Amino acid sequence: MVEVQEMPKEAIDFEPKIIGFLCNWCSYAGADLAGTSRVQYPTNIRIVRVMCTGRIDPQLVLNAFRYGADGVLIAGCHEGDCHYIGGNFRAYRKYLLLREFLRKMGMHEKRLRLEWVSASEGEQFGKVVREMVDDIKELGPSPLGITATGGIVVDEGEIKI
Amino acid sequence: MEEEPRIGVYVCNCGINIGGVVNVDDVAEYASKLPNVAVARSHLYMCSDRGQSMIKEDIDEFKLNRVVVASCSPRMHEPTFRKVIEEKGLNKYLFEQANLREHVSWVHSNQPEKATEKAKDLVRMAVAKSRLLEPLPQHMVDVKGEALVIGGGTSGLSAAKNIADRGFKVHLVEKTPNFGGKMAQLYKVYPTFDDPQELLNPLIKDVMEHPNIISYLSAEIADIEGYIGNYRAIIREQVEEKEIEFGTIVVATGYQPYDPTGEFTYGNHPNVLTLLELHQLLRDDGPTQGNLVTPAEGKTPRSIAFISCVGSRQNEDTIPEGKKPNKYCSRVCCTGMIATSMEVLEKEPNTDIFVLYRDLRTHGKGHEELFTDFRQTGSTMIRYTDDQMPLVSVTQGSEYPLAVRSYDTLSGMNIEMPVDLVVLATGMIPDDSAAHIASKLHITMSADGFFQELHPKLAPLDSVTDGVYLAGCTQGPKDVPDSVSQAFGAAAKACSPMAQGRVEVESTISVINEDYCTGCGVCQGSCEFSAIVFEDKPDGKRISKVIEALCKGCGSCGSACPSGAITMLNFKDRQLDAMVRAALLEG
Repeated sequence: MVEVQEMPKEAIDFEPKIIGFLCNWCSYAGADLAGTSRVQYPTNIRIVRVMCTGRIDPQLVLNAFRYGADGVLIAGCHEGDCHYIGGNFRAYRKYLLLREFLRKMGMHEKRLRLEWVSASEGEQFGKVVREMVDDIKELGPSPLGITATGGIVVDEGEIKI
Repeated sequence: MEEEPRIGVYVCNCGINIGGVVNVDDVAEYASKLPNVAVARSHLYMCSDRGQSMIKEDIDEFKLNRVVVASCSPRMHEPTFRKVIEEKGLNKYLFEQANLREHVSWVHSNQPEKATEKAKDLVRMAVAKSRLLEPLPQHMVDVKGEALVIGGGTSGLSAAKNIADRGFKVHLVEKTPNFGGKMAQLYKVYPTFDDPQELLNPLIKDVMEHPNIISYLSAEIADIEGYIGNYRAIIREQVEEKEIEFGTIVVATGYQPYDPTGEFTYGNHPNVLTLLELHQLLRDDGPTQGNLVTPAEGKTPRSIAFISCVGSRQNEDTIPEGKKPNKYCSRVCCTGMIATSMEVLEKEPNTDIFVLYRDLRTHGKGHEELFTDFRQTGSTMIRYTDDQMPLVSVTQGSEYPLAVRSYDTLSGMNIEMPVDLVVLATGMIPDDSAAHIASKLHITMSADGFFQELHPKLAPLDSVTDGVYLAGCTQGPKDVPDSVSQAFGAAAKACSPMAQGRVEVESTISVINEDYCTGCGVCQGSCEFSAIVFEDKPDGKRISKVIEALCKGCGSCGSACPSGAITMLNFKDRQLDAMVRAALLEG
């Protein structure tokens, strides 16, 4: 199989669109704490709350890229902290698979990031977003996306229920 | 035919918390133009009386069937607004919240324009999900009017008696042959210098004789399963096994003392003791009938060094390899240590006392006064630091069997003390049984191994599992009055579902589309709660089925199902996908 690896481009001025799937109990609460603590980070992330990272169907992540996301963040509870015992491990397994899949599609692995952020790690959440925005600014717009390239999104067929 | 969504969008200023950064009126104006939005308004405080009645009036006037509030985190006010729409007869799951405060204005304070754009995106995403929201049925379950209390220490006894006094039957399970727990092993409790037996004996008698309490001693929980209102357990008492059913659970498994083996020569010399071991030496029913003598020589100690913070507030660099540092403070050791040194002086007034501490905080009502009294005893205080831990060594040919060396930050000098006895004020660690109980009840533990409460401030007695409550040191180090208070609180919490007889359980669970399910069973492997089982249909097809009361609604099965047969209610693929689509393709 031919693997195409996206290479970092010259830093260009664009605002990456990042979708964050955050679990309700740890990372969404961590993002809330970032707010309460007035941690400042770039505005590029749009957060979607799920109850558990284990719930994140790989299809949702792939669709996010299909709709033009330049990056996707999955954030959940630390090891042993999952509200549903082991949902975070299931998310990790899916993440490994997705990362491999995206790599084979020629996407840079930094576009998909998995992080464990607890409810007490507001500062950490801000740091993750800052890093991710910087990384993706360096990579440039997603090769699949329409956000900055003006290309056409491939949107065939309906997703499953 | 499904009703066309008619959505009301309410954008909150939260005083200046949101409105000071985000152009709230602009966001509301934008929202009013989104498809299916019947009305969009802004208000100073949506959670206020006026804000809430605004929503209620609009539900009537605009025939709204969905409501979106763009304000603070749903973790804060989702229950508030769900209640508002419920009062107007709308199903509470037809509410959606966009988080403009914690996720926008507070984190993008210096970028008002970009923050306003993001706020519009979040509102558009919430409206997109709102369009696809569906009413969910209310699930009620019956609650059996009996409780299980795990642990017969101070907390467990207090909780059991409290529940039983309210008229509910209690099963009280204790793994040792006696009730009383760790408190019963102490010489005295402080700052009152009470004999723990005098405090505990009447309580134990009450519990043993209580008509509503069934006691199980030297017993263990062989198995436990179920959900709020309907738990079932197998209690093993020696060789006998008994099956019991109950509605709620109080976990009071308590603590065990930190094992300092390998630190401060503990385990290498019999004269190095823990504080609890010293208490046993002081007790009339102890190994020396209350005569304070050194274990090695059998003589009255001439000098004793107490060392604080052993097994508490540990620094990973200064603990023996292979041990995990306990970062927390155990809260009772400071008072325990200085009060016990005063007890020693009471028995043997000529003893030289050295107190080696890192920081000292006698915490609690009446404890600071005790510390003032302690300072009158003339004992030597030496303050060490965690990067220069005191060194205890066994001496050769010296008059004293042990020597303690420490840097003292108060005098700036290295001090060496010849002593007969070293006493380590060891901290608390969770009881051995905690991990077993956690895995059986699906309650989570914090990084330190103590059970995690549902919310550190607002729900300290609830575990993350409905119907399971926490009492005493099982949740973190506590002294006796705090443990008893928490036990009474947990008992009250355990009684409330039993008093109601029926409780509502969360409706956001997984459902399986029988037509799509191929019966592969992958979902069952992904369920941590054994909530999915096989069901044989009359036509011979074998498919998976969700036991609604056991499902916690994580949705792991939904993302595992290869046939797309599982839907996670309120977090459906198409609802989440609509949000992502709205974020990226619309706007």
